[in-house]
Amino acid sequence: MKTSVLLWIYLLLVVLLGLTIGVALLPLAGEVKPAAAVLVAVIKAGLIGLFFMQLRYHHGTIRLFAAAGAFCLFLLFFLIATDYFTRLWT
Amino acid sequence: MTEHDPQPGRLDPVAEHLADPGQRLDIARLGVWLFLSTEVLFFGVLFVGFTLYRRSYPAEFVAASGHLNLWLGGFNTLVLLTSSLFVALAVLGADHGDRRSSTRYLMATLTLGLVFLAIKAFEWHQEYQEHLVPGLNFNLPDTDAGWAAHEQLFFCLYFIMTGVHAFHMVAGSGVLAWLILRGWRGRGPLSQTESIRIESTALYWHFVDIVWVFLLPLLYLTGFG
Amino acid sequence: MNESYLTAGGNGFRSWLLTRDHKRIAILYLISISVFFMFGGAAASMMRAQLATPKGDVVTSEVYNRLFTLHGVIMVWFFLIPSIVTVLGNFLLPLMIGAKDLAFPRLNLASWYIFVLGGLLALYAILLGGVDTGWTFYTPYSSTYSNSYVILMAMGVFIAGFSSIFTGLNFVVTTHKMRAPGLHWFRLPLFVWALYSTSVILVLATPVLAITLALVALERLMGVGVFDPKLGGDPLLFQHLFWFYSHPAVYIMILPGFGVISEIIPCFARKQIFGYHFIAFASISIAVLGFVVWGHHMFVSSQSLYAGVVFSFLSFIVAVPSAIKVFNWTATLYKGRIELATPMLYALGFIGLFTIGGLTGLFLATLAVDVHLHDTYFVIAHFHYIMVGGMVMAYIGGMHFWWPKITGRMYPEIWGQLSALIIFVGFNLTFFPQFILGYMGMPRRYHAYPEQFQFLNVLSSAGASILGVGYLLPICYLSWSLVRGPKASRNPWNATGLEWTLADSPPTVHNFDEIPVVDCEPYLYDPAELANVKGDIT
Repeated sequence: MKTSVLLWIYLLLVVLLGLTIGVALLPLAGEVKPAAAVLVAVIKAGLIGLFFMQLRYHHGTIRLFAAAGAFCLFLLFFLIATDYFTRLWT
Repeated sequence: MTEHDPQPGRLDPVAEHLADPGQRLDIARLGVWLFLSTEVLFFGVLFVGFTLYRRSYPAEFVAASGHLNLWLGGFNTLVLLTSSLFVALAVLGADHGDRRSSTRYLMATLTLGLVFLAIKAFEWHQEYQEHLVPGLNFNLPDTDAGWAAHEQLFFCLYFIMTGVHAFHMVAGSGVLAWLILRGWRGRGPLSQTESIRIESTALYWHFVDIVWVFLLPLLYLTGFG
Repeated sequence: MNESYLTAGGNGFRSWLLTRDHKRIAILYLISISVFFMFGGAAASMMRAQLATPKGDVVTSEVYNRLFTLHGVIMVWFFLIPSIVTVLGNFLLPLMIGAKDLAFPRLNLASWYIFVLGGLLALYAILLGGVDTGWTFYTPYSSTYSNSYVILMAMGVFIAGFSSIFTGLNFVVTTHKMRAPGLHWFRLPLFVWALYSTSVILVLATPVLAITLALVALERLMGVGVFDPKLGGDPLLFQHLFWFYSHPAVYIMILPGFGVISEIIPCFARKQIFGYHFIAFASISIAVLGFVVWGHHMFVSSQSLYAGVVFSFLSFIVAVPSAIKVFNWTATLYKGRIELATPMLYALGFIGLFTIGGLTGLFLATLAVDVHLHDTYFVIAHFHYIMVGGMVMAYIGGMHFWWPKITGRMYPEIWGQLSALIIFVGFNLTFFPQFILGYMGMPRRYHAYPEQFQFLNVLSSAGASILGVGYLLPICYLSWSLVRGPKASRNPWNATGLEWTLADSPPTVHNFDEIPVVDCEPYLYDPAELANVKGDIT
C-alpha cells in the first residue's frame, strides 16, 4: 500500500462524486437517475473497501467476513421484496 | 502484515495467550470486519425500509427529497471522503511505526469529522426551521393530507438514518480523540497494540463513510428532475 | 500453580467480577440465567394455574397478557438464547480447541455485563408493571396503542442483543484463529461446529432485531414513525424485520443443543459418531437456511400468497439437515454399547421430543394447515417440544455431562436419573395435550377458554407441576454436590476430547500447561471401555 495509490483512489472518488451530483442535476427521466446514483455509490464503496480498507491485500477469511454481512442483507431485501412485489398479483 | 517489526508494547497480561504478533494482528482484523458485518445489517434494515417505501410512494419521496440541501449533502460527502483519505494515511504512517505522522493524520481526520457533524447539525436546524421534523413540528401547508403523510414518512427515515449515522460519527470521533491523546502522550515508535488500534478505528471510519456514500444518493439525489 | 480456576487469584467479589477467565465468566452467566429462568418459570406457573379452569379467575386478562409476555421475553432472550452458548460454550470452547482463552477475553466479560444490564432493564420494566404486547411486539399495538412499558423492555432486549453479538464475534474469531496445532476443522468436536454455526447467526441476525426494536421504541417516543399506518407505514414491515431475526433465533437456541447431543451420544454409546461430516455440514446448512424461512410466521398476516409459497417451500428444506442429524445420532446408537447414565437419558429424551417438535413444524409449514393452526395451542406445543423438550433437556444433560469438569464434583447418579425421568413425564403431560387443544381450535394467549377444553388444560397444568418438581431437583442435588459430592477425576466418563483428556477437573486458570498438538480424529471410542458411570474418586 503506497501513498500514491491512496491519492489516486481519492481523486477517483472525488470525480465519481462530481459525476453523481452532475447526473442528479440533469433532466433524465424516471428511474434512471436513482439507479445510476446507486451504481456510482456501489463503485465508490468498492473502491473504499478494496483500497482504503485494504481488502485487496487481505486473505480469504477476511473477505469472507466482509462479504457475509452484505450477503445476509441481500437475503433480507430479496425475500421481503418477494412479499411486496407480489402483493398485488392475482 | 505490518511492514516493520514493532515492539509488542506493554502487553496486557492476559494477552500473553496471543504471543504471536502476526496472529494478534489477524485476530484484530477478523474481529473488526465481523463487527462491521453486524453494522452492515444494522444500517441495512434502514436502507431496505427506505427502498420499499420509496417504491410505494415514489412521487412523494421525490418531492420530499427536494426539500433537502443537495449542495450541503454533496459537500459533506467530500468532507467524509477526504477524512477517509487522511485516516488511511494515518494507517500507512502507523504501519511504519511513525507516531508523529499517524497522529497528525488522525487529527486531520477528526477535524473533518467534526466539520461533517457541524454541517449536519446546521442542516437539521434548517429543516427544523422549515417545519420538516416529524414528531416535533412537521407541517406542510397547502398540501393534501395523504401526500403530506407520505412526505412525513420520508422525513422519518431521513432523520433516523442520518441520526444513526451521526451517532456512529460521534462514537468514531470519540475514539479518534482518545487515539490522538495517546499518540501525543507516547514516546518512540508506535507499539503493535497502538498500530492495531489505529487500523481498527480506520476500518470503522471507512465503513461509516461507505454508509454515507449510500445515504447521499438515496436521500439527496432523488429529488431533482 | 496447579490451582483450579475456581480458587486461583482469590475468591473475593473483585476477582470474580473483574475476571477475564472464560471459565469464570461462564459461571457468572450460569448464575444470571438461572435467576432469569426462575422468573420465566414463575410466570409460566401462574399461567398454568389460570388455565386450569375455563373462566380463569386467578388473574385478570390484563395481567395474563403481561404474564405471557414476560414468560416469552425472559425465556427467549434471557434464558434460552444465552444458555448453552454462554455457559457451556464459554467454558468449553477454548478447552475443546486447545486454547488458553477466547480471542477477546475482556470483550467476553463486557458481554456479561451488557447482558446483566439488559436483563436488569427488562426486570425493571416488569416490576413497573410489564408489557402486554407478547414477546413479538407487533406494531401498531406496541408502537402506538399499548399502555405498558414497551420502550423500557425493548431497550433491555436491545442491550442484551449486543451481548449476543459480541459473544458470537468472539467465538467465530476464536475458532478460526486459536485452534491447537493439528486441529484442523474436521477434527473439531461437533460441539464446536454447533457453536460456530450458532455464532454466525448471532452475529448476523441480532443487529436486525436491534434496529427494529429501536425503531419501535422511537415511534412510541415520538408519536410517529415508519410502522405507522397513518403515515403510510406498513405494520407488516415490522413483522418481516422482527421474524428475520426471530426465526434464526430459534436456531440460535437449538443448534448448541444439537452440539451437546453430538458429544453425549458417542460417549455413552461408546461408538464413534456416525456421519461426522454430515453433522458438521448440517450445522452450517441450518445456520444459512434458517435465514430464509421467516415468512412462515406470517402466512395469515396478509403477506403475499406467493411469498407464502416460497417461504413454505424453504421451510420444508430447512427440516432436512435437522433430520440428517437425527438419523446420524440414531445410527450412532445402533449397535452401540449404551449406558443409561443421566446425560444419556437427557440425550435420548431430546432425540424423541425434538423429532416430534420438528415434525409438527412441518405441519405448520404447510400453508393450508397453518391457516387452521396458526395462533393456536398447536404452535405453542410445537415450539415447546423443541425448546423445552429439546433445548432445555440438552442444556440440563450437558450440565450433567460436564459438571465434573466444571466443578470437580460428581452429582448423585440416582437422583440424576430420577429427575430426568420426572422431567420427561412432566414435560409430555404438560405439552402433548396442547397439540390436541390447538387442533381442536383453542387459541393461544387467551386467559379463558370454552368449557370443552378444560380436561386437556387440567392435564397440562398437572404436567406443569410435575415438570416444576423435575426442574427443582437438579438445582437441589447439583448444589449439594458442590459441597458434598465426591471429587471427580480428570475423565470420569472415559470421554474423548481435549477438555477430558488434557485438562483437570476443574481446569487450571490457563487450561493447559502446554498447548497440545492434535493428531487424531475425534470420538475414537472403544466399546470395550465403559463410560465408568459411577465416576472415579481421586
